[in-house]
Amino acid sequence: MEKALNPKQTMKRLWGYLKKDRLKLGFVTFFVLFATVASVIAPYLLSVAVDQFVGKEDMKPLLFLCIALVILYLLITFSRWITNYIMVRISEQSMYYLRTDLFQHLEKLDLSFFDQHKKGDLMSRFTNDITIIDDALSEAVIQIISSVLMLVGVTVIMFIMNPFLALATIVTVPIFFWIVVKIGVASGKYFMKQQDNLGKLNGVSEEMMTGMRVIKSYCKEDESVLEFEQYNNALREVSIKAELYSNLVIPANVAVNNIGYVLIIAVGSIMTVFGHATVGNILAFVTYADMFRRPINQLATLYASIQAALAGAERVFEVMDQPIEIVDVKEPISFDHVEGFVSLEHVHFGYTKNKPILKDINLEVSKGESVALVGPTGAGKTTIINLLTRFYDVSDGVIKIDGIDISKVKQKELRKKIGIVLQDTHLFKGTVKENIRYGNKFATELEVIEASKKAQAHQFIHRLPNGYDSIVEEEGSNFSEGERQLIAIARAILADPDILILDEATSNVDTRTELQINQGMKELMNGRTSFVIAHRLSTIRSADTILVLNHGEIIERGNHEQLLAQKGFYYDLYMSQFED
Amino acid sequence: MKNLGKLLRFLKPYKKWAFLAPSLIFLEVIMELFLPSIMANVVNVGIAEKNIGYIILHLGIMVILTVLGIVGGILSTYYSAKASGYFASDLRKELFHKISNLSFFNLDKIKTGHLVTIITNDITLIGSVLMLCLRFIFRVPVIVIGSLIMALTISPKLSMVLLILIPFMIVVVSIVMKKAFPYFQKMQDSVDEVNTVVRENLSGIRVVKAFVMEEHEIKRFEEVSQHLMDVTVKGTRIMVTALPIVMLFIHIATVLLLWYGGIEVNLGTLQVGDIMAFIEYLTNILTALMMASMVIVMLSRSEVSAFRINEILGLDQDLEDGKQALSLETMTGKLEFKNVSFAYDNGSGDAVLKNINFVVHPGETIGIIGGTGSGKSTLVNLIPRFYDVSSGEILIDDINIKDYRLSFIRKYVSIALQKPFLFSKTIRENLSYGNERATEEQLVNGAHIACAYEFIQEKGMDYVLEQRGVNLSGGQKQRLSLARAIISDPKILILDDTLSAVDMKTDHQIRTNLKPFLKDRTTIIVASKIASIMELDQILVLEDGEIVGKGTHQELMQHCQFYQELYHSQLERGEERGKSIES
Ligand SMILES: Nc1ncnc2c1ncn2[C@@H]1O[C@H](COP(=O)(O)OP(=O)(O)OP(=O)(O)O)[C@@H](O)[C@H]1O
Ligand SMILES: Nc1ncnc2c1ncn2[C@@H]1O[C@H](COP(=O)(O)OP(=O)(O)OP(=O)(O)O)[C@@H](O)[C@H]1O
Ligand SMILES: [Mg+2]
Ligand SMILES: [Mg+2]
Repeated sequence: MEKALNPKQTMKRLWGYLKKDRLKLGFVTFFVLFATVASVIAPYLLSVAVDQFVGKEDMKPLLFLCIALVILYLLITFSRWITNYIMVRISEQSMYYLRTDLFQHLEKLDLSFFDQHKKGDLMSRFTNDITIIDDALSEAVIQIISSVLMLVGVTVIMFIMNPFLALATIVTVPIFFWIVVKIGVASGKYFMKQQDNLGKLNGVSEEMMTGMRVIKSYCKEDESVLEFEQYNNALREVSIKAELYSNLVIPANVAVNNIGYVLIIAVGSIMTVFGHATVGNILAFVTYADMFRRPINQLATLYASIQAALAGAERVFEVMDQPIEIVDVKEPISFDHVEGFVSLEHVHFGYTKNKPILKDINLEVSKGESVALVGPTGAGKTTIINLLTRFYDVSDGVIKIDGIDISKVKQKELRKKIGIVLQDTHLFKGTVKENIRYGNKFATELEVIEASKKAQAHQFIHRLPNGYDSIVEEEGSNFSEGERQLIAIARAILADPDILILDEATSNVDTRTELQINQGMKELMNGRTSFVIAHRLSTIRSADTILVLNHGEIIERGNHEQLLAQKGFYYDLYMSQFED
Repeated sequence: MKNLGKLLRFLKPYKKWAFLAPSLIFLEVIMELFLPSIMANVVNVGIAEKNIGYIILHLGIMVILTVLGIVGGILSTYYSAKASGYFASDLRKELFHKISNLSFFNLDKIKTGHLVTIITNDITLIGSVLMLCLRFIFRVPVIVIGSLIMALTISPKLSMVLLILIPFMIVVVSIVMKKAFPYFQKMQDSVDEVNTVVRENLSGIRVVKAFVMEEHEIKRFEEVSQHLMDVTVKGTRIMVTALPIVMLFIHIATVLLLWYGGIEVNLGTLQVGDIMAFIEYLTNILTALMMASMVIVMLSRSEVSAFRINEILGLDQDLEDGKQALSLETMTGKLEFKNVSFAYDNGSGDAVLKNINFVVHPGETIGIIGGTGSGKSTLVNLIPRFYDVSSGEILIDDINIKDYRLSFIRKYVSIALQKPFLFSKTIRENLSYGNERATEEQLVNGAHIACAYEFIQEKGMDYVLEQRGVNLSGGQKQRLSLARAIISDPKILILDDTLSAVDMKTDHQIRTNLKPFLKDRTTIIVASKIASIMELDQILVLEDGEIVGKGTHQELMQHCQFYQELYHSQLERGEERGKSIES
């Protein structure tokens, strides 16, 4: 993905998430203001006390002041607590919105995006990147408000008290900020690398974990650890640098502040010598310089951690900014009921620009017709299905359903009309029942069982100790390959679509079961347009039309008998199964 | 903190850094400690007495201290960043190493989402907490003790204020910790959940889109996301109460000091300047304690992560090399199953395989056919010891496979899995995965046998596959995975329904190509098409985990009812053939 580094823009967008709850933010601001003002006043009272009431015979004013201070501190504590209390919700809420927005966009993205991005890296954006934003942001708002306010307040008071001393305190600030920005830029760069590397590491870990069987069966554990280590080491190096740079702010701050002290003392001493300042003045100034140092220190540290947040945010927004190519037209045609006429007219397609996969596909399917696609592997059968469901858009030509160009229809409506069993079965974590109901949430228990029976899945599900409530692990790993396919078929049947697509739906199912499924399917397909892809020719023999695909072109079409009679490609294919 | 303690061993190689980091902080702390007293002196003595020489001398000392402090601070950051960086990366490596050596008994139980969270999120957390610790571990006691001594020298009586306050702070912090801990646990578990849902959506995006379940998935995500938010809010809210309360203590202490200090000054036992200095020390001590309490809270947060890490590091390495760890020169390839039974740990507990017996001799090919879910894949997965048998034994060259070195078996046993898995690398890298030294010729040859050469050539050897090979067709993936197994040059080759997505013609071609290759190897072919195994010397028919038939095609046709049924379900083609030949 292209990296467009634009901290200002990113900051603005993050702020957009934070400011969603204005009321809460208002409360926070109010209490922060109060706490800050109060904590500027308190030490002032303290210094007044030391200068004027301590050492006096009458202790009453001191007692009075002490009580006032206690009350003030209690109020400060309360407002600090309440600001934190509210702020936690604000920042977590905004992270929630951020995550959800990211996820929503993800769900809309084109399939080609998913083809090209590592799962682990995308996962990292949801967790690691959002965590780093959260860590920085949750404190940033309060601290920025309080620091800036504190800074302004202290500066004003200092100038009122003694402009020369005040100047001596402030003079170092610009230098300091210059240093902080330099450090920030450097650390920002490394934070970005750190988050990228973290994503990559997440990516390889996820991939290796999924491929553990292959790794183990070829004894590649050690090599995998080595490969993992490469990413791991790269991550380590950049994160050490990121930490180092962002933490440099602290010693830099100490240095500048101490220079400030020295200046105060120097200027102060000279002024006292000439009678322009008092000892009490200087002491107060040291305290103020201390107070001055705190917000600046905070701002500087914040600046560094905001760099980290920005690095995370860039990566989150990067995905959110991915353009979606397959979009609905402005005024989509409504698609209430589908008769099932399907036509492909001069369809061309390639996954990448210069590599055409499908070439000039023409096809006319009438209502209720069953169409079988056959051909050698890699011929483009699955690709045609991908186009029918608009997982990808044609490069050229049109696909029409009931005479309507599918690119003019709402994608969701289109897909609702199509039921599909994919070549790569995928089950979700949950129960068997939930998986079968996936396309039809409101199906009754009875309907679920009915569909399972048609898919020949009932028998084995029924025998499971928990039946339809048995747990399906991630990706259905606790079921056999064939069992997963049966569940997927049941799922498609239950969705009760107008057009049914089976892409190698029974490739791992034993032939006896397959035969039973096919018999059940016949009834189901009655009146429905259907597309079947299979290599086992027994499955497709009975289709109304058989299309033979080779190298992305339809080279033969007709029914079984016609094609056999042609003695062409299909004939060869068909005969090859008896050659043994 | 038990779990964190256990992880400290990973810091051992970096003792030096881990020691230097906090030690160097010393310089920074010294500066912080002496600065107030020097300044008090400058004001009280230098300025009051108008002694310019005194002032300049002390300013000079201040400058030197500052420089020392800064150098110390930077170096300390450097070493702590290094120590925690190396610590984290070693921990990751060890964890990954551990995972890659676990058996599938254990791996099946751990969710990938969980593992991935631990490897990145949890370890990052622990690393940054370590960094924090290294920078505060000495700082806090040094500041506290140093300031305490300074305070004591000014006024022992006033110092009592501190001693009274500290226990209070400890109580507050430990209460907060105790309350927040369960939420920290839930937070990490929630991150797992988020990872799991995202991962599932990424792998199943086609299904999600096909069934128009985006809304449903978004709702599902919102639920886990909301849960993560809620537990984080709850945990953090408890956490953030600690700080204001601790700060309140600091403030109250200041007021108390002011009051008692005022009394002392009146009594003439204390100077006015001392009160300010005292307050300064007090603030130092309490700020240090405040940091300490933050660190402790963070530590308790990372304790959760440490627990999660230890949980995995502590898993039994239940699949170990055999006691004799045999690693012979080569393998002949005789394979025997003796009364093998097997049940999955997490399954229903019912045996998936029951009493399996068969022998395959080198050079022989055995076919396995059976119903969906009858245990075929399970059976072949036992051979490379992905799982260990529950009872009975598997022998290779008449020796129990548990007695061999694991790597020896896996080197000579190759399996082309039913669900092909390819890496997001080039085709070439994928092909040579099982045999890095394979020459180009061997690669091409392997590809030829698997009938994969044509499409490989078209795409190029250096074509980069996307994750899991999504940019290949189903049959292409299978053939690549088959070619990979062939190229690894095994003694025992297992094909688990490897040609299910390959068309008839290619299927036939591959089987013809394989014949010479299989000559002196032991081969197991799991198939669903009778045609694929019909001519083999030995066919096992599996039903519900039991062998219900064994023999040649002819024998089975006579004795095995299930085989007959399978045959009949494919029979029509035979009839068809007859018809088409007639016509
Ligand atoms: N996502 C993708 N990106 C790039 N190329 C792809 C992608 N998916 C498939 N291809 C390529 O497009 C061609 C057609 O693939 P397709 O999946 O349509 O074949 P198929 O006829 O379904 O084959 P099979 O019977 O093996 O499933 C193949 O050469 C394949 O490598
Ligand atoms: N990891 C697992 N955990 C628990 N049960 C499992 C696991 N893997 C498979 N099973 C169960 O064990 C049984 C046998 O599965 P196996 O994968 O061996 O079947 P198979 O004969 O290969 O079937 P297919 O022809 O569908 O590939 C099935 O009932 C399945 O549900
Ligand atoms: Mg396909
Ligand atoms: Mg199987």
